[in-house]
Amino acid sequence: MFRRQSLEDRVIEIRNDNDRVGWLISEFKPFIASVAQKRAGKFLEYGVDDELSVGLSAFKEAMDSYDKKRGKFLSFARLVINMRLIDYYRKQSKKGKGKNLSLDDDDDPVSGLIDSISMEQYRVNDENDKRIIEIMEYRTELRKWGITLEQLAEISPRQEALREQYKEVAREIVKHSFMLRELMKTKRLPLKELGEIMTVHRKKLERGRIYIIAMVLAMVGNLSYVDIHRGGGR
Amino acid sequence: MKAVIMEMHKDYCIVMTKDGQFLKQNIPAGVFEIGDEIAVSKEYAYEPKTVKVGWLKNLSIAYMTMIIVAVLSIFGVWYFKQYLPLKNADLLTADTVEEAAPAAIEEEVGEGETREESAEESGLSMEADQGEAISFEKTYSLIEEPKVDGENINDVLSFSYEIIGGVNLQVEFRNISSALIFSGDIKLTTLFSDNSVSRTKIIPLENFEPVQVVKEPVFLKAGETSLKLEVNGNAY
Repeated sequence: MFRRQSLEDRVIEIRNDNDRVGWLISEFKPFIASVAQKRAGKFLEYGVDDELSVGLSAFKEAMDSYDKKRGKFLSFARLVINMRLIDYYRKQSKKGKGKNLSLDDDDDPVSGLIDSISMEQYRVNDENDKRIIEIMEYRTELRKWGITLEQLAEISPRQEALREQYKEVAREIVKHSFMLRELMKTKRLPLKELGEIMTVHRKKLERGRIYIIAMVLAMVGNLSYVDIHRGGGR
Repeated sequence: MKAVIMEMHKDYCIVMTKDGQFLKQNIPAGVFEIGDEIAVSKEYAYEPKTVKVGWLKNLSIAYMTMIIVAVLSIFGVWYFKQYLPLKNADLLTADTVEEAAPAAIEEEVGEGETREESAEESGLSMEADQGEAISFEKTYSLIEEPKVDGENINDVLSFSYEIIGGVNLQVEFRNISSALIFSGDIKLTTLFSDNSVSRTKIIPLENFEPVQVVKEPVFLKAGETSLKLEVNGNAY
């Protein structure tokens, strides 16, 4: 289930274990892509665009050189990715012009910059970073259930009343730990138990299965952004 | 309503609204990062164009395939009708050498028949007293002799043929005599490689005068490898 350990502790703990480093990197691949895409100003694809290879190695580099004094890990990683991309673009443009500035090739502008940049610059995004970690964990958790965000965007109920009904079902499941346990174990909705405490048609529950599970996972994972824990804001 | 960006795609992103709705928004990659908060609006709702276009595309692909198949089959039929004779002929050249012997037998048999016929005809002509009787017969292998120029028939007629474009057999008869007029029939028979008769064409020549020329086109069919010429008539 969802990790209660902070990302910072996780990074420090696992950075010498190659397998777990690989897992963390793959979990944060969408984040790395979105940072690189924002820097590039265009869509980038893994395995196609070099910027993403640069981004991945920058993320790994950030994991290796991270220190709690540097603030939140994601802000630090974002900074390293951006610096490495600037470096990459500079090298690309040098290649284009010919190697007349070869003396500068060997120095490492990034490490120097990381130290000199004020921590204030990336503390601003603390709230965003918290959200990103939650989103990445949520995505990973959904993937374990074979649910994609694409799928959720397709099946997410458009009608507010129906959405509210499904969220109510999810709330009931989370509230009753025996139902939550059964769901986690069998990956099936506890239809019988739900029928006893709620008056929702079985067919309706079956139709909304994926959305209900997504809402349960959002509640269990404590997605701070989403306002689903309370009774629908009514 | 506010929403947070959950996933970026090439020309849209998936967001989650505060009330737990997942939506696609028409925001291309490279503008925001995952985790950024945006305001969602119906204006920016992502409309997948692919459904309609994909359907149309499939339909047009199906139509295109059907048209291509139709054109190819028409062309194929035409091709087999027109060009296969020569190809077959090329393939059969080796066989024709072996088959030359039975062909000769056939020729003899044919000759025998025509001799009888010509005898009858000459008998008739004797009765009618219409000058010199002409009877001629020869089989030409179209593969070995794609062109024959001026085959002399009793110093009265000259026969030539030429294969044009592989399928078109152009046959020509010319009266090469100085004063004789020819009247009679010319029978052209195309034969398959096993000497069986494919088609017969009769060209009647009435009062065919000196220097006069008759040209006839013959389209070759698949498998036709030789041409039998029979001339029966009178010159006076």
